Amino acid sequence: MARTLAVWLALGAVAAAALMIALLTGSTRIAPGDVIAALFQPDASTTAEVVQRLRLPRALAAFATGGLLALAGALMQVLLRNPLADPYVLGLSGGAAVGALVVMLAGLGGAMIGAGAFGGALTSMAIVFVLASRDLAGRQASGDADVSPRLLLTGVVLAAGWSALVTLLLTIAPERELRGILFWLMGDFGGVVSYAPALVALVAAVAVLMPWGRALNAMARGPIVAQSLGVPVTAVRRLIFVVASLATALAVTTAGTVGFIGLIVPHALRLAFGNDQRMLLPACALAGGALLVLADTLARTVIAPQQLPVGAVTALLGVPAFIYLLLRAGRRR
Amino acid sequence: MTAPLLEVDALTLTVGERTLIDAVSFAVRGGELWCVLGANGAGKTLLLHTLAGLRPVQRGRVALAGKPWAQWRLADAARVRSFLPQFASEAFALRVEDAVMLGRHPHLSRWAWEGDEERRRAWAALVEVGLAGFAARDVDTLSGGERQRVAIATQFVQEARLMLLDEPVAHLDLRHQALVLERLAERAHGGGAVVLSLHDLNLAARYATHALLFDGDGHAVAGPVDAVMTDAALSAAFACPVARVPVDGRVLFVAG
Repeated sequence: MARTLAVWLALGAVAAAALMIALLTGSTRIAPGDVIAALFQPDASTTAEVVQRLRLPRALAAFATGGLLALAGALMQVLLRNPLADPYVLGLSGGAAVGALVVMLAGLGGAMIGAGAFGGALTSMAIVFVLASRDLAGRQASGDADVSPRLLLTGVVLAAGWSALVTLLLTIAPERELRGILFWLMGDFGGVVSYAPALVALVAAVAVLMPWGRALNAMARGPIVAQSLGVPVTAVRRLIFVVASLATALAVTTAGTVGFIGLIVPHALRLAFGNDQRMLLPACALAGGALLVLADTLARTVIAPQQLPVGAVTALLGVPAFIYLLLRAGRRR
Repeated sequence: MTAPLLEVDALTLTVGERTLIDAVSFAVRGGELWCVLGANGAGKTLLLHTLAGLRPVQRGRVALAGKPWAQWRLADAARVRSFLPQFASEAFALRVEDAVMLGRHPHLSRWAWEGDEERRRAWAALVEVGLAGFAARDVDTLSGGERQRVAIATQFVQEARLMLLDEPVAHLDLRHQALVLERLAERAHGGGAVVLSLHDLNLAARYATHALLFDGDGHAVAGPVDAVMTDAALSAAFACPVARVPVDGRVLFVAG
């Protein structure tokens, strides 16, 4: 318990530092003192304007998105009992992409793209729920069968279907729309409209999950062990699926499909601090948020004034990190 | 008289078209150690899962401590019965101590965290199964038999009066087979009840008070161990001649 608090405090400090770095970094140089002044006593100056209107919303959006993705990743890994699962493994990002693309191609922009993405993600979630209803909606866990491979395959096949639809839509998309669409598909905070829904969702998700912490630990041990210990396996499975899906849907709605955060963050935290979900889930929210804030700061400064899609940055960081973790895990077994 | 810990009434188990067990009835009371005997594929695991409330009762009635399974809240049931699955695989790294402490789950409130009390119980259980000093190890680094004993220690800290175990000694060496069965027999002597599946007839005869023998073809006999484990019944159930041979005042079972 004391150790958990120490982990949270340390990661909270890291997150605060990451947010501060994001506020300090950009084309206009702003001194730390001025940033703090602009945060807490905003005046009519350009400095306050830049901090309050540009950098802060973008940093908070990145934080919330990163936190949601890491949280969803940790949940999917418990649900599927597979450390290599990620928030997109059940095809949610594909559904969101198709929804967003349809809206973009219909000539609508801004908030409507977010709505389209959210609708697409929910559609995908509903399809998985129906297809895997035996696993997610049954009265009792069947006991001897570990259902996670079936659920995983359902998601993989659905993702392949969405991917085909995305290709189809890209083919018929007019030339001038392509750049915006590609940025969206890669994940990007350039066009962020609002950060509040994602931030509220992040706090709400952690609050909903915390009472189930020890039950989630039991779920990680497998359905039979969990049910023997009195955990209502099907109900908890459904809770995990719905929370993780909504978290992913909101993240995708905010920033498009940002990869690797949901895979890397829970994995690294688990290696460093263990697999107690009560510690891990809030830690994922903090560390995932901090990491995406830093990645986005990098994305908008590394070849400024050009901006990179943040998804490209997380993938560039994520691929080597992930291979390293895989090789390590291979040695351990 | 209080209700039996487990009361099975006309339980029928089927898989597809096949009837594994046809209307078997028996009652398990405190102080008894039941041994479930049957050939591979006869349905021992299916039966134990059904008795443990992990799957719905197909036909017949199974009551835990006087109340049918359908009326139990899982969380309450977990304080009365515990279950040891046959195979357990870990998807994530896990310390032995943390694995065992999870057995306290049904006794802790929603917000409680495992503390010194739970750690003390976990360590005591590890000592009981011969794993003193293993608390800080990772479950992944243990051998099959050691993992099995970690699972049994986890079941011990759950402190359920009715313990169901699916092949608890399958991966254990001779010494630890005897050790684990001794510990289970002690719990039965202390007023608990144990139901386990086993392939070793000699161990069954030595430790069990009662036996349930079935052939996976509908026929099942349940009752005191001496009445059930006869040459004829065992030979029929296992489709293989089994003889009882008295040696130094004990009975040994010899196959073939």
